This record gives sequence, C-alpha cells and structure tokens, in this order.
Amino acid sequence: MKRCLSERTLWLVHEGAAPEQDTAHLEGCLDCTARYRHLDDDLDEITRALRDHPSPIGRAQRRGRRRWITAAAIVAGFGLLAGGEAILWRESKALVDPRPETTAEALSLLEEVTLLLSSSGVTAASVLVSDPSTVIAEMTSQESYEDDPIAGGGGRL
Amino acid sequence: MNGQTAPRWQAHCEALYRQHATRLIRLGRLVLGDQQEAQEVAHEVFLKLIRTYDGPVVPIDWAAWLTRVTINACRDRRRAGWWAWSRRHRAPEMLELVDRGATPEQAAAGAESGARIAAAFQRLSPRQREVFALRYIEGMSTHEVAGTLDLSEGSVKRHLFRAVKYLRGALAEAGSEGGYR
Repeated sequence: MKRCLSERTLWLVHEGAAPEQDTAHLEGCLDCTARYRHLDDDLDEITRALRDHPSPIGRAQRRGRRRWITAAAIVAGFGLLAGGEAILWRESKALVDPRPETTAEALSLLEEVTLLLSSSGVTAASVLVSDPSTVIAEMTSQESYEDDPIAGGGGRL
Repeated sequence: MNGQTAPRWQAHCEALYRQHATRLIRLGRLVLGDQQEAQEVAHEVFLKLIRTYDGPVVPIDWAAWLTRVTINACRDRRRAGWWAWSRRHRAPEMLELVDRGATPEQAAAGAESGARIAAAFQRLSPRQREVFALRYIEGMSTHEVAGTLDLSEGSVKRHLFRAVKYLRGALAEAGSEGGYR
C-alpha cells in the first residue's frame, strides 16, 4: 500500500489538482480520509470566520484613532490654557508695573508743572487758561519775565 | 457620452454597484485588514469605472475587472508610506482582541476563534492574503486567481498552501486554548 499522503498532497486533492493515484489512495485509506475531512472542516471554519468576523485591525484602528483624537484634544486644551494664561499674565503685569516711558513722561510733566506753579510770575489760574506750551516757553525764558512789566504784578488775568 | 448611452451606462453602473459592492468591500477588508479603508477602496473602484468607461456599455467580464482593480487599489494603498506607518503603529493593538470581556461561553469561544483567525490572516504576507481571499472567499479557481494577480499557477498554489497551513495552525491553536471545536 502506498504511503499516506503529505499535507500538501492532501490539500492538492482538495483543490482537485492532485494526480489520479493520490485521489485513489485517499479513497482506500481511512487515516487520509479522516485527515482530508479535517482539512475540509478547517477550510470551512476559516472561510466562515473571515467572511463573518469584522476586521480586527479596523476595530483596533478606530480605537487607535479615538486615542489620537483624545491626545490631540488634550494637547490643544493645554495649549489654549497656556496661551490664555500668558495673555492674562502679560496684561496683569502691565497694570501692576507701568511702562518706564510713561513714568518718565509723567515725571517730566510733574516737573514742568511744579516749575510753573512755583515760579513767581505765573499763577495757577494763568496755567489753567493758557496754552501750556506757551507758558512753559515763557517760564523757561528768564528774560521774558524780567522784561514783562505786568509779571511782577502777579498775573495776566 | 451621448444622450442615449448616458442613462444606460448609469443604470449599468448602479447595477454593478448593487451586485459587487459588498463583495469588493469584503475583499478589500481581507486584503487591507480594515473595513473603512475597504469601503474607500470600493468607492474608488466604482469612480474609476465611471471615469474609465465613458461610453457605451462594453461586454466584458465586469466581476473580474472589478476584482482586479480592487486588488490593485489595495496594493496602491499598501504601498503608500502613511499606510505602512499607521499599520506598523497599530499592529500591537491586534493582540488586545484576544482578551475580551466575558460573553456566553459558546459565543465567546466562537468569537475568540474568529478573532484569532482574522488576526492570523492579517499576519500573512500581502500576496498570501490576496491569493487566499480570491480563492476561498471569492471562490475563484486557481487559474482565475493566477490571471487576476499576474502570477503563475504554481506560484498561486505555493502561496495558497502556505496560507492554508498557517491559518490551520492558528485555528488549531485557538481550538486548543479556548477548548473550542
């Protein structure tokens, strides 16, 4: 009796591509017949599973996508939070700590006003009604006070 | 396309879609391992059909044409760099499928076995997946598979036997671990 069929030959018989003698052997060998049925059952089982079972990667990918979306949302959230925090911090810093240019301008203005008010020839009222630049120009020019006959009288009102 | 052939062609395309869309999506799912990608591929194929055959209805074997174009579209997707990257990165997640929540015993064993076979199928080489899907899922003959994939029949048989051997091993493993079958 011929040796039992190899797995490959058995599969070729199943495919209808085996030589006649192998098919004849299968008909007379109980062991090979059992193996053939097993192969047939396995192929049915595999085919059914692949037809019916949803793709594993499809599910895994959807899960993976959800994870990516969650991670991206978290990162975007942190980014927005950090950006908002930075803007608020900058605004609060500007309120607490005024800019140096503003201080210098304010000090210079105060200095000018002090100079104006403390000068003998100009009253507070004259400062209020006059054009500041004119007043400052007058105050800073020493001759203009000395030459002005009304200056000693305490104002131009 | 003139006024008379356009409606006929449109009706023909619709009929082809109804007849083959499910089959092509299933084929794409098996080859690519992804339902969504498979649906996109099927839509691409039908778009290509509409664009390519812009004329009177041609008497050709549409089933074979659609199958061949689907396989080629799947190959194009696989060749794309981003696809390979995403596949590499999501591959470990397949293992999670093995451990799933408890369901009624028999259903769980069947689902487990199915998941294992599906996962094992995705571990086959792309060529083996194509050959197996066309032969056993689409029911083509070895000769037709060889024609569709531009391979020799010997090569098809070789790929097919390796795939069968591997999948049977996975099935036996699933059966022994899950007490199934």
